[in-house]
Formats: sequence, structure tokens, C-alpha cells
Amino acid sequence: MVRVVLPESLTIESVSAIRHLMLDAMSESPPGLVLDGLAVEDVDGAGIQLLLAAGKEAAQRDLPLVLEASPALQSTIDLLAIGDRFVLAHPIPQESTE
Amino acid sequence: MSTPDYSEAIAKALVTFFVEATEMLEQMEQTLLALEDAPRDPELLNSLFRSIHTIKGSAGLFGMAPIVGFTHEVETLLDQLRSGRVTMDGSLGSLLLLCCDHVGTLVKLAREDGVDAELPPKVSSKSDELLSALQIYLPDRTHQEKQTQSPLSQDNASSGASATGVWHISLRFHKNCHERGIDPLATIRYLGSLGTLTLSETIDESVPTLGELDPEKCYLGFELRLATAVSRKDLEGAFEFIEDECDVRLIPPRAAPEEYIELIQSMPQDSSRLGEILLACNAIAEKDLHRALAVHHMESIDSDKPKPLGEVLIESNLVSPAVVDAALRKQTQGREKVEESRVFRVQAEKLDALIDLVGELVIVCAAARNQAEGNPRLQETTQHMGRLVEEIRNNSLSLRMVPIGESFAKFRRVVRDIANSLGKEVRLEIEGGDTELDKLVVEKIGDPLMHLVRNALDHGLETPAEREAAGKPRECRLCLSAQHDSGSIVIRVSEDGRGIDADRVLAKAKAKGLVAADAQPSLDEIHALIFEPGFSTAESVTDISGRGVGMDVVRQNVEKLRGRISIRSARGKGTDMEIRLPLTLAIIDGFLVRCGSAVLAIPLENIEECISGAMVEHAEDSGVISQRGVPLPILDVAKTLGIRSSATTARRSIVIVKSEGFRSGLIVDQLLGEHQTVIKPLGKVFSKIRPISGSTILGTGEVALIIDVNELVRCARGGPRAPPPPLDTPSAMTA
Repeated sequence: MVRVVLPESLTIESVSAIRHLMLDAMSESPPGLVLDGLAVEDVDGAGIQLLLAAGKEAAQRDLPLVLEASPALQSTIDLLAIGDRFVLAHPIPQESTE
Repeated sequence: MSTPDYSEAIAKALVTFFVEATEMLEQMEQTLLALEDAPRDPELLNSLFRSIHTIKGSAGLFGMAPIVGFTHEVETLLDQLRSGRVTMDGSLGSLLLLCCDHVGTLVKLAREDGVDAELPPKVSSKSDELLSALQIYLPDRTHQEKQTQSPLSQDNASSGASATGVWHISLRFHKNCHERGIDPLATIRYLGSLGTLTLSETIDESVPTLGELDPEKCYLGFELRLATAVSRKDLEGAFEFIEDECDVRLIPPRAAPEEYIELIQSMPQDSSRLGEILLACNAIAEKDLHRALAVHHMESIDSDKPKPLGEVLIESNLVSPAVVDAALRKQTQGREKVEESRVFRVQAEKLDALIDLVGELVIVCAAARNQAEGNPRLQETTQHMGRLVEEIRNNSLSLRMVPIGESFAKFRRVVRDIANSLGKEVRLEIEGGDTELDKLVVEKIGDPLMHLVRNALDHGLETPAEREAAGKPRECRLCLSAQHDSGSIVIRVSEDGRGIDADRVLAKAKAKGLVAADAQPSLDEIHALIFEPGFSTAESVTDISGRGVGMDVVRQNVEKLRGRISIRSARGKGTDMEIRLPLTLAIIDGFLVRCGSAVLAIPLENIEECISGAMVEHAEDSGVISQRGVPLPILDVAKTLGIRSSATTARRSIVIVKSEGFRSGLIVDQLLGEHQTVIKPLGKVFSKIRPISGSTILGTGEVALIIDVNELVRCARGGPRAPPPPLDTPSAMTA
């Protein structure tokens, strides 16, 4: 599994660069791709659209894609009801061991 | 478009729905079984979700409320499974299998009783029972409603709407809206602040793949339902800034259906998707939606390439076709991979009609050949034609050939369920699933096979404890296999169970008077006894098998298909049931002979050679000839069948046939030659005449009866069956 870490701000300013990162990761034909969105705080339409496009690309390449969503990202995904477009991974809540 | 067109289009689409739903349920069943080995496989879970979602979506299009209601709950649970909020386990798997069955029942009811029919109370209480069982797995109802903003969730559509009013808002952003500083998300968030978004749907069909995406352009659209108290003016104000960069359509609360239909028609790419959304949120009545969609459907047929319903369904499947394709590709690994997109559906009736026509053509062709005698040029032509017709025949017959694997796969579920209920551990192996045979045969062999499998599970295989005591591995092995063998197909059900208790079978047969009390039958003969009517060895009658109607019915059904069943069993080692069937029921290569006044056709595959001359006369007297040192029993066909011999029996011939590994000679009056024989079934009245399997029409218009050689020889050998009644005494036919 190759991991692409999404930045805190997944917006029109950053989508171009992230698109290249994602394409690079995919071009190495890894067994699977994890989009790590656990740090995402701010997302706009362009950011969501990038994720949708990544989903389509992965499907076309037969590449399993997992999206790990931060609460902010998850609430946007819920707002737009696009949860069914992704395999969403929910980080296992850290059991407090202290 | 006039009304008949709509209803016709709907009726056609409905048929497709039933077929597709049934297939999808079968697929779900297989997926659920596969999940038992890989309970967390995201592909499998996604595929399950997609299947149920598609069934729900299409059922919604046709207004099948019971199916929509039930599948909605199943879908909710599957969504939870998919997202990992609920984990799969054995009992949930079993419950979901039951749910699949139930959806199958609902679909069947809708097909048989009509879409609007009331559910029988038994079925609706079953729905409730399953639904409450499902609730146990849903962690927290309120939590889940917030989480799964299910696109079709109807629950929230009307709530709170009456006080304020629900607007339908349709947004399609222009490509360069980002450049103008407009963020579609901001608009939606703002709308959310004006009231409650009871539904939001992202229209992302036009979003390209990552490789083709210009990330700074916008390809998004949205369908929203907003429950709000603000005035039209205020709402329009929300779009004031984006008007130039976005197509906005507002449909006020309580709008006439026409407004929605207009909306659907104005967006041809999204029409079916849009229809589903609107229907789901009760924005539009099903009747009106049907109208709109039928128009769209017909238009797409008229204008462009025809759009199958399946495709429309994929569109309404809320996942992009690319996703579905990829998923499908993954699921159907192996040979089916190559077949995708090269396969299309033909109605079985059409195919049957074609085969019938080819059959007639074969007959006419034979007639033409007869009439061409004495005209060499015409003969050449008819011969050429004959070859072509034969090729057409072979090709069209091959169209009806389907792999038996699909029928075999259905047994996975049966085996699993029965094995569980009996507390046995059974591993099902399937071999030769790609062996092809006539579709009709595949359909008709299902029930006998089912019986054999149930029988094997119930009587043949032991419990793990019994097996361990016998020094065998705990897990039983049950194998279904199919293979071709010289013009027939051999299907085997074999298991490594306890084998048949020959002593018990014999004792029982004697007690029932099936065998004489002092008889000493061979092992094979004892095994064959279990196919006798009224024979059942199970001490206790279970609901799995053993109602005493079992094996004789199996044999009858197999024989109806011109097949044969045999059994091999070794005590403590297991039992093999072997069904041997002809590849097709429609046409055989026959060899015509004349016996007295009748013309008979003998299947060519049974014939070894023909002899004539002095030997024949000898045979007529003694009933046996010596051929190359081997004695060969001889049967006079005319006598056996009770055909009146004609006066002009000049030189008779012997046809040597082989049946069930046993050679014998048939005396006939005249050899007439090979003939492509189109089998026409005999009517019910004649079905009791065992050695005749059918009839055919010759080129001359004469009717020839087709001999079932196996049966004829069996009769003559004094086998288990009584000799046939004479052909020309009508009173015997009703016996």
C-alpha cells in the first residue's frame, strides 16, 4: 500500500500539486493506495472533486483505494452524501492507555 | 408519445428488471458465501452494497414499495458493514442470506401477482421478522441516520417540510467557476444555513479520471432539497453571486409534477439518476416518473444507440460506471473476463423458435434431396445445401449450449445450509463447471441434481464424530462434476460418506416385496433397487430428503431427458451417482430402417455396424449369432414392438447396436440410411411406450418413430421394466 498524505488545506490552491502526487503514486502500480486525509481541516469543492477523480482513476486502474478521513473531511463527505464513492477507513480510536 | 408506448416500454423494462434482479440476487448469494472466507474484503462488501442498492433503485422506478422498503434496511446495514462500523460474522452472514432469499420472494411475488398487489400476510410478517433481526446489528439508530445520509432515505423527506416548505434546488456549476472565485461547497454550506438540507446528491458523472482532470476546472453538480421558511426572493438572493457561473433551477414547494418532469428532461445525461433522487424524496409520484423516464428511454432508443435498462440502472447506481466496471472485472475473474461486452441477452423463446425453424429446414432439405434423384445438377446443389443446413443446425444448437457451472454454483448455498442444519462439515468441490449442454437440459436436471445432493448430505455423509470414529477426516467431501463423453454429458455427484448398506437395502426391498424373498441379487442390482418406486431407507423421515418419493422420481426425470442414472457405492468409502444425458434434446443423427410397415430411426451413436446375408436367416431362428467368435443376442424389432410384418420381406439385415456397454443385434427389414432427425416429442398418450423416444418427419412426409435403443434392449433382456404394449392395439396405450 502506498500512502499519499493530504495536506491540511485541500483546496483550489493545493489541488494541482496533490494531483501530481497522486498520479505519481499510482503510476508505480502499487497494490493499493491510501489517501491519508487525517490532517485535512479545510476542504472546498475543488478538493472534493479531486478526491472523486482519484476514485474514478483508481477504479479504472483496478487499484484498491482507501480514504482515511478526518472529522472535517468526513462531515463534508456526509454533507454531499458521497460516502458511497469511496472505501472509507475510520482510524481506530486510540484507546487511552495512559 | 402515446400511452401504449409508455406502458409497453414499462412492461419491457419490467421484464428486464425481473431477470436482472434475480441474477443480482444470485450474485449476492455467491458474494455472501465468499465473504465467509474473507469477511472483511472491501471489494466483496462493496459489491454486495451495490447489488442491493441497484435492486432497490430499480424497484423504486417501478413503484414496488415492499421491495424498496425492505431492501432499504438491508442496504443500510450493508453500508455499515462496508464502512467497518459493523463487522461480518457467521450469524449475520446467515441472516443476510435469508434476506436475499426474502428479496427473491418479494421479486417473485411482484412478478406473479403484479406490482401493486398486496403482500400475503405471511410474507409481510416475514419482512418484519427479518427487519427486526437486522436491527440488532445496527449499532445505534440515531447515529446511523446522521451518518448514512442515504441518497434514497425517505424518512426525512416529509418531516418538518409541511411547516416550512421544501424547495428542490438543482445546481450545475460551470467549468470555470473556480477561476471566478466561486466555491460550490460554500454555496451548499450557505444553503444549509438557510434551513435544513433534507437531501443532497452530488452529481459527479462528469468528473473525469484523475489523469484527465484539470483540477482547477469544476465538473460538479448538485441536487438538493432544502426545507426552509425563507421567501423565494431570499432564496434567489443566495444565488445572486453565482448566477453567471452556475445553472440554477428552483422548484418551489408543492410544485406540479410537470415542473419536475421538465427538470428531468432538461438534463438528459442525468435523467434516470435524477428520477431516482426525486422519487426517493417524494418530490414526484412514481406514475409521473415512469412517464418521464419512459420518454427518456424511448428517446435514447430512437436517437442514439439503444440504451439497455442495465445501463440506466448503472447510471442510477450512484457510482460511476467506471467503478462498477472495475468491480465487475475483479469479481468475474477467469474466463468471463474475456466475455464482457461481447455477450448479449436473447430471449429463450426466440432461440427455440429458431431451432424449430432449422428443424423444419432440415426436413425440407431431405425432401429436396429425395426429389433431386435423377437430376445430377440438382443433386449437387441439394448436397451443398445439405452441408450448409447441417452447419446451421450445429451452430444454432450451440447457441442453446450453456455452461453447467451456474447450476452447480447454486448448490454452494444448499450444501452450506443443509450441512449446518445437520451439524456436518462438508466441503463442496465443483469440477468441469464450464462443460456446456443444452439450456433446456440444464434447467430440467436441476431438480434431480438437487435431490441427489440433498440425499448425499442427509443419508450419505456422516457427522464429524462418526467420521472420526471411522478414521476419516472430519470434513466430508462432496463433489459435483461434469464432463463430455462421446455425444453425451456425464454429471456426477460423488461423496466420501458411509456408502450404501447393501444388506439393509436388500432386507428392506424384500420386506416391501420388491425382490423375491429367496433372491440373491448382485451388488449392482441391490444398489439399483434404491431407484425403485416407494423405496426409502431412511429410518426417520427428515425434511431434507427421504419423503419416500425420492430416487424413483429422480430416475424418471433423468429418463425423461433421454438420460440414465447409475450408482456405484463402496461400504464406508462413499457413493457415486452418475447421470448420463444427451447433449441436446432437439436433433440427433439417426439411421433409418424399415420394419414391416413402419419406418424407424435408430440414433446413430448407438450403432456399431450393419450386417446382412445368410447370417440373418440363422439369427431369426436361433435368436443369437456368432460374430467374430463372440455370441451376440439378436432381437427382432418388428416382433418386439408388435409391428405387423409386411409381406415383402426380401432380405433382412441386422443392425448391431451398443447400449450401456452391452452389444446386441436388431433384425430389421431394410436399411434406409442416415438421416438428420429432428425430434418431435410424442404426445402424452404415447409417453408410456418406453422403447419409442419420439418421432420425426421424413422428407417424404412419412412419420418415423425414434427407437430408444437402451430401453428396447433392456425390455428384451427382461430388465426391471415390463415389456411394452404392442404398438397397434389402442386399448393397451391407456394402460
